Amino acid sequence: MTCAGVMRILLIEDDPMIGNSLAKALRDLGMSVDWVTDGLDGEEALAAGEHTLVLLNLGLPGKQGLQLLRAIRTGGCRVPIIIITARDELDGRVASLDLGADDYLAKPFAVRELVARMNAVLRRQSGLARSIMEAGDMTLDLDTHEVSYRGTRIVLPAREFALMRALMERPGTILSRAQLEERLYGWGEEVESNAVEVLIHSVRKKLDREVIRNVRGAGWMVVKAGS
Amino acid sequence: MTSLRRTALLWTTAMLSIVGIAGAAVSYRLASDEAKAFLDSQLRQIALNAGDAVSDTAVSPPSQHDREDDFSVEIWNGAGKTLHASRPVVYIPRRSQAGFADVHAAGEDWRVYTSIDGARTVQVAHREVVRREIAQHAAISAAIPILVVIPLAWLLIGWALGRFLGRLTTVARAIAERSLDSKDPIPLEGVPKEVSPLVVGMNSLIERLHHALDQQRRFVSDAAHELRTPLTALCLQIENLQHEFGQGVTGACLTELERGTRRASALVDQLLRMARYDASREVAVAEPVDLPELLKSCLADQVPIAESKGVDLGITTMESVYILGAGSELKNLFANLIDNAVRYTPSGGAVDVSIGPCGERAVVEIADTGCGIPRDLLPRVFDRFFRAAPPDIEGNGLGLSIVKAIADRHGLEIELGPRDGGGLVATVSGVRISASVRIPNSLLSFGHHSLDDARRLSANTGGEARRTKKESAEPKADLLSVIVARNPSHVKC
Repeated sequence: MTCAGVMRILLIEDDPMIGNSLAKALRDLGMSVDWVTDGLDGEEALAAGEHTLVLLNLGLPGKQGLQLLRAIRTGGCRVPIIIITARDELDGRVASLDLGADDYLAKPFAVRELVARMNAVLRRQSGLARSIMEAGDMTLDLDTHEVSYRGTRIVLPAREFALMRALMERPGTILSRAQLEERLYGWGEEVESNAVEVLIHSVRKKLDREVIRNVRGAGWMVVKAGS
Repeated sequence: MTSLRRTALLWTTAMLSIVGIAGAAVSYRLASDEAKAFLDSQLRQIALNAGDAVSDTAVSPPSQHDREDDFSVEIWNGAGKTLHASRPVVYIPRRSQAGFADVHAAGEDWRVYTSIDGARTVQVAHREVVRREIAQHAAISAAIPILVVIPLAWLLIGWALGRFLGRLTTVARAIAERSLDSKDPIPLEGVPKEVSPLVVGMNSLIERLHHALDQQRRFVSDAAHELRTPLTALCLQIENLQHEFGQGVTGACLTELERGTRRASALVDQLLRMARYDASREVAVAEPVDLPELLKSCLADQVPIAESKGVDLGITTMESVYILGAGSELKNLFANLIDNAVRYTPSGGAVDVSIGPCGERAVVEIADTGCGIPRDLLPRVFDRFFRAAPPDIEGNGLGLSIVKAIADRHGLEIELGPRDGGGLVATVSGVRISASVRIPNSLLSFGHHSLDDARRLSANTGGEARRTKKESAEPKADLLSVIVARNPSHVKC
């Protein structure tokens, strides 16, 4: 959950209670946090270009969050930005993502979830996104076929890897047996009736029963982060 | 309540009657005087022209003529001897003075004209009764048309008033039929000039009312949003505390505290949803929604909770069926129902979902083996903040209100009932559509009207529905319907 190396975070948040406690929580996780309370200060701080990631509250005094976001992106600054806001309407979400935000988190949230999103955004930015998939506490390396779950790391055989890949492409989505078979076997290939169960059993044995959830009558899934 | 029509009718008819009666009285009087003057001149003419008369009985043919009506003529010579007297002879004393006079003789009143020329005296008399009768006849003939016209005028005025007030009724109906969400002013076309200030006043009232309503809705939404900031601060503080004092008694307290803030957050979220659905009674965007897919994604969200509680959550029947609606709202509806089912089912119990078509309707059932709802409380479960569940299970009493609000917006029917063997069955039903229906943009922003239009459209194109290979073959999908129920059995029709 902690981030390796010294991450310098710019927190733009006008509420002193949230600012204080969030800054403390992130510092406790070993990050360096610069906290400003209004949009103009935020813009100034960003000009120095020393931050790894920006946490931006949308309802700011001085300069509205969305305006600031637009100013940052039109200025050519590519620093990752995560929007934190009490407003969770779809329009606001779409607007901020359109304007170049990397992610969007609605209040109230747990620090755990925020850090997971920060890590995901940073990984995506450093170009690792294509080779690593993530769902909950599990990651899957698409190049090495290595899966890691709560400290266990193993390399999966081809079929098991294909199974995990299918499930982790859409975490939180139930895939039926037919859907999984389609992903695992080619056209015309003979599929044994319990092939999928055998693969799932094998993966569970190597990692944990909980990594793949069975939903009676519907299929299998892996859980999303934060749930 | 005073009736404008009655008052106007009463006053105009009363006035009209008074004027009419006065007119008739005047005509009566004038006609009567005229008749009397005419009769007087007749008396005089006869007196001036009277000579020796022929015998009535000798020459004249017998007639039905009433002798009472006749003039009585008597001629005297200078010496006072009667030269001629009309028959039957009435003894009216000879007057010494020429001219008109009213005389009482032979037990009757007479109008008398006497002319004297030295040699002769002619006296013509006419019964007063007859004269009065003739004058009355003339007067009544003059007055009757006016009296007849009065009731005719009443009818006419009543009809005209009815027509005029009918226009007001049209305006009233237009106002009564207005939707609660309609923000357009009442149109002034066709409204009588005298009534338009009323309509203008009403329009301004409607505008202010909408403003107040908007403000109230915005208040709930704003308040909920504002609550999120301190709640976030609270959550973060608790997390920081847990980080430092996460052990022992303090840790347990902090966990309880965290649970409390999570409840508050959930309530704020529900309030926000409620406020959003209150803001408009119509769905903004409708599209065909694949119910099995939707239910699967709702189920997926609940799987971790169900597993940690030891509740067996699953699907018993699943057949492809589509309904028309806003996907995010429908997901909310089913998520709330499944969440309730899992929440009120104890460890070791089961929650079963079935989805499928049922005639022209789509049926989804969510059945649980939980505590159920007492029958007498069932009618109240959709009320806001009403809780039928045992108090030891967390909940805010808004979930089912939201479910109901969404169902109403989509024209879906929802029913809760006991499950055989204990537990609850929730059933939501609406109209099916076929999967491949393309809905014109004009219908995408719909009220219930256009929702119906879209369904009709889908019914017409139902036969051409495309199917993916995994979808079970089904008869022509024409209309859509949904039922959610908590029942392990197949969808009940």
